[in-house]
Amino acid sequence: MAAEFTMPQLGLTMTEGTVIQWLKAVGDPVALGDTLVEVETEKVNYQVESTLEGVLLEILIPEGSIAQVKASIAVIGQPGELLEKSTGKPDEKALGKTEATAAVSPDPKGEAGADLPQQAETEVRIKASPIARRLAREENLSLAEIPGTGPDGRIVERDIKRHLEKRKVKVSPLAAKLAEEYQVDLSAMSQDRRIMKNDVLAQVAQSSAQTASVSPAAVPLTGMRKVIAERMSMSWQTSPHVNMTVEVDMTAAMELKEKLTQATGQKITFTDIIVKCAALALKEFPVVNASLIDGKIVSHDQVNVGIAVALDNGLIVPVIRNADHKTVTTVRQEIASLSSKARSGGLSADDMNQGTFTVSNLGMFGIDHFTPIINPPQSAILGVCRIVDRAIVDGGEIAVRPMMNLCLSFDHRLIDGALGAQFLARLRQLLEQPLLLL
Amino acid sequence: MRTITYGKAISEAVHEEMTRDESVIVLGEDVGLMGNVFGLFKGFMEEFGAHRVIDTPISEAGFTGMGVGAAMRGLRPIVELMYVDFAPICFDPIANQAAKMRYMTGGQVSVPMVIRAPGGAGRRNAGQHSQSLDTLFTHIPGLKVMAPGTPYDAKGMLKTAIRDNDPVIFLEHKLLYAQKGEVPEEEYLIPMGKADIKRPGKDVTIIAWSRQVLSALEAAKQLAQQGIDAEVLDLRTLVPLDWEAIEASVKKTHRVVIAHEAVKRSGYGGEIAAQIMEGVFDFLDAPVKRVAAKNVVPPFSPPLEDAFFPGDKEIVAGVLEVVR
Repeated sequence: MAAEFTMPQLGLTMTEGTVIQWLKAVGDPVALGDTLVEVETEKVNYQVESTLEGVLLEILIPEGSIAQVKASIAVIGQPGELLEKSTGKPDEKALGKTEATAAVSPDPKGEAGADLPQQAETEVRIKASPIARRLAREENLSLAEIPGTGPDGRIVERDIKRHLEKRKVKVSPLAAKLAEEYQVDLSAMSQDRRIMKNDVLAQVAQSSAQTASVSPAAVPLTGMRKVIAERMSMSWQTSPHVNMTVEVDMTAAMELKEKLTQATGQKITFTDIIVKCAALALKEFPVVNASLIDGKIVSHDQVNVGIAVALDNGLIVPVIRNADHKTVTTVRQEIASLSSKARSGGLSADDMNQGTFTVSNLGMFGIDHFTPIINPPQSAILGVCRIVDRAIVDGGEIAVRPMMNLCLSFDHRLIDGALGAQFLARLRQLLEQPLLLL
Repeated sequence: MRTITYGKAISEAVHEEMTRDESVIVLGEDVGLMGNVFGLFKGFMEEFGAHRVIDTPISEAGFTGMGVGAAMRGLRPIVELMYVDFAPICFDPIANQAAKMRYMTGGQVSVPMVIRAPGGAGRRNAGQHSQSLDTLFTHIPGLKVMAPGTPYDAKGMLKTAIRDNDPVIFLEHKLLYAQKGEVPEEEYLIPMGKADIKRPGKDVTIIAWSRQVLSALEAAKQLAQQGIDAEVLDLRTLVPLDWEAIEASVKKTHRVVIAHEAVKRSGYGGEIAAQIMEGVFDFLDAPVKRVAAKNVVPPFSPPLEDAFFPGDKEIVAGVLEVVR
């Protein structure tokens, strides 16, 4: 008895595959485990092994065509054997979205009512459960296009539902709105889970990073610029910002930086050390790590520190997750990788999600003080200024120390002055006595 | 709430109704002196008198007919058939007299009698003492048919049956008499024709009654471990059928397994399956599956008898078929 070889489910979300190349010809012997066909899915190419033994009797899906998962793509058996219902031509159900079946797709306006004319023409009766037929009727679907996973290939309710899910791109309402404003093509964003706001923003940021910089005099806000404009306005108008500054003696930090750089061979920067100290301080002051969302205080058990990275025409904030658990060296490596991804437009939504605090370093521009704007829904942001040798008074005498200002902006709805001050003081303490990090 | 056996629940129901209403009488084989072969009516003859708890000869046709006559004349007889397997002997008084008198007299008489009979397999009582003959009764218009599966249901339903003015066939199960369950002290009635969701679920509806309710619940537990959430719908009353309950459940789950202890061929499951097909066809995602006893004479040999009637394993297998 000959048997049908079907398109395997090669991945959890796979629904169809393209036959790239048949590695056996009709008439070739096939042993169990022989590589039979090369199949391409959304993600990768697979060499598919045969689960049947015998001779390749018939190829049902030619090279270049698409077949649904579990549809028959070949017949394997002993020479001369036939399949029970082999008609010599491919099963209607097997052909997916090739040009040949474009004619079978129903007109969405629905020319026929209950029975689509195409179904009457097929020789093979398409098996479908009553509810599957009803749903297909209601949604104007052609059963011929839908693979059945019920007994005997019967199309059942879940097959219709799966087909309908695939048909519509899953988008959150906010993401849909943003996509429309920033002219993001949602169908071009292929991802398995529902598209959320941050995914759209990531897409926007990426495409902005790649556009040319030549522009005429009066340019409307689009893309990343528009996003930044809106977010900054919203943050400024919603969070009562308190700005607080401390001067930090960076002597010990500088020494630490030299030693770490020598010890690890990595080019450790002050930002790395500041991120690490900030992460620890945030663990000690969880309110500074929290968010105010819809009138509720949301605590975060992770400390995810974002690093503001300047781009040609905007800024982007990749996140170091669980920064409190990472060594300074690891922080260095991640910042390096994220920054380079940011500049090449390769950051993903996951790289930028779930930050609980942001560090923005403008020291390289020689800035002594600034008032960074909080990155919502976070509650605080740390501005880092330049390190400059200053004359200070130590033990009644004038000394020269490398001093750096830290400018903390925080949301007074959540963080009171005293708490903010304590946090900042602790941060200074950690930077000035880095042994406390141990 | 206290826990009592199904047998005790039936005993209490009869006792309470006999106390409440002098016209309620009990007749059958060994119901008086012996107090019923399962001990359900111990002491009743002493308490209510031999004129109300009547030991009959082994003559089902005779004493069932006597029950019909007594009912037509104003008493409320509870006729006991020791085993439902004896129903064929007295089928004429049941089907042609009790069921039809009210209609054929134009309502001049009614027949408020209850015929109680235990059925069911598993006790190695062999071919003539192990059947479930639900279908014989459900097929006769004019009869109401009840089949409780738990002590709580048994008591409330029997009281309703005794107070009902029409003939009610009350199908008990010989292996359920010893099953325990919670039953309130206070009086309560369960209405005729009302099914009960014993376990809510969303993936498949298991329709069952009598002892198969327990098998279905056990099957549901096993299915839950496989990620299948089964709804167990205990019909309780077979005629009149609670169509609304069945319809609502099928519309929710789209898949049905009917489990009964009677033989599959011409079993009541076929009737229910046909009604489901007629009523909610467009909601079905799979054919309605019946899990029932095999079309054979109930065997005496223990392993053969066990293979004859269904249990939780057969119900699980049935569900797995419809969810494929």
